Amino acid sequence: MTTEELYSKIQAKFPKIEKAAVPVKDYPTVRLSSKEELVPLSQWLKAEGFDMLDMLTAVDLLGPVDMKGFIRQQNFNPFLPDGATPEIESAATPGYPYRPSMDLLWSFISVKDKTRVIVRLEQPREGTSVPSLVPLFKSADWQERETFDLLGIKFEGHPNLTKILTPDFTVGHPLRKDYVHVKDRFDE
Amino acid sequence: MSNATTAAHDLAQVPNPALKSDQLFINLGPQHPSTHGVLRIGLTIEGEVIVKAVPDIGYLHRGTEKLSEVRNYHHCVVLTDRWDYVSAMPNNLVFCLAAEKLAGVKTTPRADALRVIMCEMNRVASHLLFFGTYGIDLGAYTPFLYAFREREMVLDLFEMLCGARLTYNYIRLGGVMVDATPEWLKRTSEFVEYFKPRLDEYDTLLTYNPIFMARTKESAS
Repeated sequence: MTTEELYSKIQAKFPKIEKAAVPVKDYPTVRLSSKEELVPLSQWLKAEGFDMLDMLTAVDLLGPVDMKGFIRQQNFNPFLPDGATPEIESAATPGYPYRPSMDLLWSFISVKDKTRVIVRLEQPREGTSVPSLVPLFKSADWQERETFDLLGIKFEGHPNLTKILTPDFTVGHPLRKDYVHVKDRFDE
Repeated sequence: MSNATTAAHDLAQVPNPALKSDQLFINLGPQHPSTHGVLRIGLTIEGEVIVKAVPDIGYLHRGTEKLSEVRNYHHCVVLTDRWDYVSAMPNNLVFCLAAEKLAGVKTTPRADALRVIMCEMNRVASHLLFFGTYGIDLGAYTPFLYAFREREMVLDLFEMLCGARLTYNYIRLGGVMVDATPEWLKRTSEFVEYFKPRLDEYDTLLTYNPIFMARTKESAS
């Protein structure tokens, strides 16, 4: 199935789902308009031969990093002389549309056709919650736990949505741009 | 962690209401960081039967994404060395290729050739480590000594060129750290010629080794 055929098939089946303005590399990329479309689209993709969920992740689009999150090393530039104050550059890229939202991404692979399709969805940043794909794809289990652990996104219907990578005493979700590190026993 | 019903650390509490009277909770691991990856498994056992296994991963999670948020691209090359610390060159390479693609930077043919040579040499060193320690895990100690004899030579070559033996930071954005000297190229060709017959030696030592055969044959199939 060529990229154009796939786009037209998805368009015919799900009229609300549109082609993403910027594709991920040269893979066919579609953007969902609401989270309710995720499960029907995944079911359809699975029936169409995209039988493997390769990856799911998310990006926090809040914008410039707050240096408060890095209290371990105030002076992050080792070449500065003692007592000099580091000049903190803003991480903001001019012209980039920062906004309080989470951009989620799922990547489905067709093992037989050796093709891949990327599904994206933008959700509000506070209390982000999307349907879990664990009933459809077993591989979603740990990846959804990782996305929950690092970005604080809830997956409705996940059988065991617990922390997976960070220690149990870590407060907050480290990959959120407004994360502030709370001193723990490793900081002393 | 209000909904943490089956996280490994929850099962470890004493007394544990989730355990039945004839069940026992034991920790498998965590192993020391110098072993092949740290993993802890919280096991619930009934006699000798495992009724539940909850893996606890993340002991080697370094938070590279978070660290990269406050560093520029040159700083991040150092972080990539630590992803898979026995094959740091390919890690450097993939990061540099991605960053160069974003910036639209072209590298010179000589830099490309050096990158490929270094990555291949690192692959040899990394695979020597793999098969040597795999033998150790199965109880065959001898192949490890042979593998590390040759691995040492590759690491010496790396040390000669970039000064490091494990985390090289050699492949940089737009090229490599330093050009190869004629002496280095000569010694590398010598090593390649020396290494070719060694493969037969490893084959003799490990491939039909009875211990190796007994412990790998018809397993994990």
